[in-house]
Formats: sequence, C-alpha cells, structure tokens
Amino acid sequence: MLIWLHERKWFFQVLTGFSLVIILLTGLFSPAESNAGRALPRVGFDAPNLTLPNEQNQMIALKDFKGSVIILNFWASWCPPCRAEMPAFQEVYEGYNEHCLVIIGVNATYQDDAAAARQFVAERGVKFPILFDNDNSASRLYQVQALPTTFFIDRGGKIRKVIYGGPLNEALLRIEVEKLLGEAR
Amino acid sequence: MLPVLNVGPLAVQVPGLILLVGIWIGLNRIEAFARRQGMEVERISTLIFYALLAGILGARLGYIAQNVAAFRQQPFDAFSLSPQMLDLPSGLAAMVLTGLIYGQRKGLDLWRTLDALTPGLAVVMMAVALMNLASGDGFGLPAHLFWSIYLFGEWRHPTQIYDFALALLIWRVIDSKADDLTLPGGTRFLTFVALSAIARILVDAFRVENVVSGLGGVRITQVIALLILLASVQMIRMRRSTQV
Repeated sequence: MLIWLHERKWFFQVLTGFSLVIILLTGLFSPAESNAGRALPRVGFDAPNLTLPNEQNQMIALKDFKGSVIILNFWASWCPPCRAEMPAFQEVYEGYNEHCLVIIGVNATYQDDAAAARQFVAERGVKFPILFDNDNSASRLYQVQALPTTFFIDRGGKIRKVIYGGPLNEALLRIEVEKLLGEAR
Repeated sequence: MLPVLNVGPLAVQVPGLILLVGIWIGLNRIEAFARRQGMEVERISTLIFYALLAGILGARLGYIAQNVAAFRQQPFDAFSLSPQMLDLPSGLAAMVLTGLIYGQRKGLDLWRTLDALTPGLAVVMMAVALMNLASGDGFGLPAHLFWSIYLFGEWRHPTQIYDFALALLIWRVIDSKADDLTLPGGTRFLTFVALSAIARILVDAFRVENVVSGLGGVRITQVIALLILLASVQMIRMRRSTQV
C-alpha cells in the first residue's frame, strides 16, 4: 500500500488540495459550539450549581461563591487517598482563604457513614466547609465515577481542571490555585 | 466515556492504562519492523528506553522549573507520582534531544531510525484516540446521525472514533511492506506525518474546540496541520530527489 501510494506522484498533491477544500468548508459551514452559559461537569463548561446541607444542616449553594476561585473535592471517609490529601487541602485553605479561595469538601454520604465523616473532619481539624451528599444528587450531577474527584472552578464559575483520583499534594494545589487567582475577573 | 474504572478499592485511570498498552504494543511493532529491515533491534530498543526516561524526567523538571515557588515550600512534592505534574513540551524536547544524542553517538542513520519508529508512533496515535474516547476529550459537534454518541447532554459526532479509524488506516499503510528497502530513508516517517496531518484536518472539522477567531469556523489545529502537511510533502519530494 505504501509503495502503491508513492508510485503515484499526484497522490499527495491531491490530498493537499482535498485538505484545503476541507478547511474552506469547515470555515463556511462548521461554526464552533459555544459553551457559554452551559452547565456541565466538564472543563470549559460552567460548573453545575449544587445545594447541599453543611454540618449545621444549613443549605449551602455553590452559586453563592461565584466570584471566588473554588475547589470542589468529592470524598469519603473510607477512601484512603481522600484521607491522605485532606491535610494538603487544609494547608492551602489556610494559606489562601483571604485571597478569595473557597474549598468545599462534598462528602459522598450516600456511600459513607455521616458520623465517621464528621469524626474524620474533627480529628483532622478541617476548617473549610464540608457538605453532605445524602441522596447522591451532587455526585450524579457532577458525574463522579471515583473518589476523590476534584474540580477547579474559576472566578467566572467555569470548570478549568478536573482531577480524578488522588492523593493530590500541596504543591500541585498551590500551583493550580495561584494560576486561577492570578487571572483577572 | 470511562475515565476511571473502579476495581475494588482501586480507581484505575483508563486513559493512562490505554496509553501504557499502546506504548507496549508500539514497542513490539517497532522491534518487529526493525528486525525485518535488518537493523540492530537492541540499539533501537535502548534508544527508546533512554528517550522515554528522559521524556518523563524532562516533563517533571520542566513543570518544577515553571513553578519553583510552590516547590520551594514543598520540595518533597517534586517526587510525587502525580501525572498532573508533567509539562508536555519540556518532556517532548528532552525525549527528542536524548534520542538525537544517543543516535549520533551510536552512529544510527537518522532517517532509517525514524522509519523504524514510525509503526510504534502509529499505534500510539490509535491509543490516543481511544484515550480521548475514555476521557471524553476532543469531543464532536452536536449531530443527529445514526452513528452519533450521547456525550455531555447532546448527540454528537463520535470524533474520537473517527480519529481511531483513520489512525488504524494510517498504521496499515505505513506498516506495510516492512522488508522493502527501495523507498528513500525517511519516506515511511514523512508519509505518516503527512497522513496524520490530513486526518487532523478532516476530523477537526467535526470537533468543538480550537477555533481560530476571524476565520469562520476554521480550527487552529487545522491551520497547524496544513503547515505540517505542506512541509512533510516538500520533504518527501526532497528525499526522492536525493535518491535519484
């Protein structure tokens, strides 16, 4: 096949011409899809809004934090990488809390024990908000397939990075946070 | 879309797994090809080993160099196994540089070596298409066709499957007649580059991302691929003329 292709001197000229036609047709008939205003748990799309109870049973909505850089971390107390990365989140939260960074831990309570989750949060001295996904609604909304899963959301409410699995380390978190905080509103 | 596969307590990253399998099959194809060309298989294998190792190290060092401040506070995080902490351009530069240095020291013919690596590169291209299918990256425009796939709330062009089909076709072309020595050195590699550029131009017409503003819907990747196509076709001509 390779020999046949090279025996025909016109082959690449025809393909180059064909490529130019494709590019022309793309320019004319294949406009880009805009993600603006579309909420999907996907890089480049708006972060879907979620409303969940916190430890005091008050309802907290993600949209209330728009304008801040948000890290949304789905976790469970039985999950070893989730437990391992929690101190890094706490350190970063303490370092950047006053710089418009919000970290929200969403406990996958529907597959965890709420009491164990609360005890873990207390033992580790976690200070950022922990929300409880009792009915799987938030995990379903964010199509969470594994724990931990972490979403980085910019000031405009757009998802900029998704990391499946862990544990994430402090340097990586600082780098991602600095990147998003450094951007203009 | 299957970015993660839960196996008991383990969350296996499916795209990473596909890449590893692709590299392994690619290495086998390279060795088989080099053997049929009468090349020293061991030298080619060693070259790939050093290049891959340098690529990983270079990617991590490049990432650290760009984020020195964060690692100054947490120096041990530089040794983390996190695949997110890699800089692709740095890795590729380190890989190419190491390959060139090793090849030059061992007296390997550049064009023949590139030809030998080509079947492996073609297999990795197929793996990348499947990685995108698993992760959902490189997704297509909304379209209601009987072969459309449902992704991110819409029926869409299965661009990842288009990519895979074309990569498979390209692999069939460039991995054929492995024992042929009549073509000028580098022809197989340059053909792979040219055909891959055409595939990119074709598939990206149906992809959502990378649109150049001011040129209608033309994708930036199509423009880059066109330049690569023109350069590779010109080089194929030059290689032919050196043989005459």
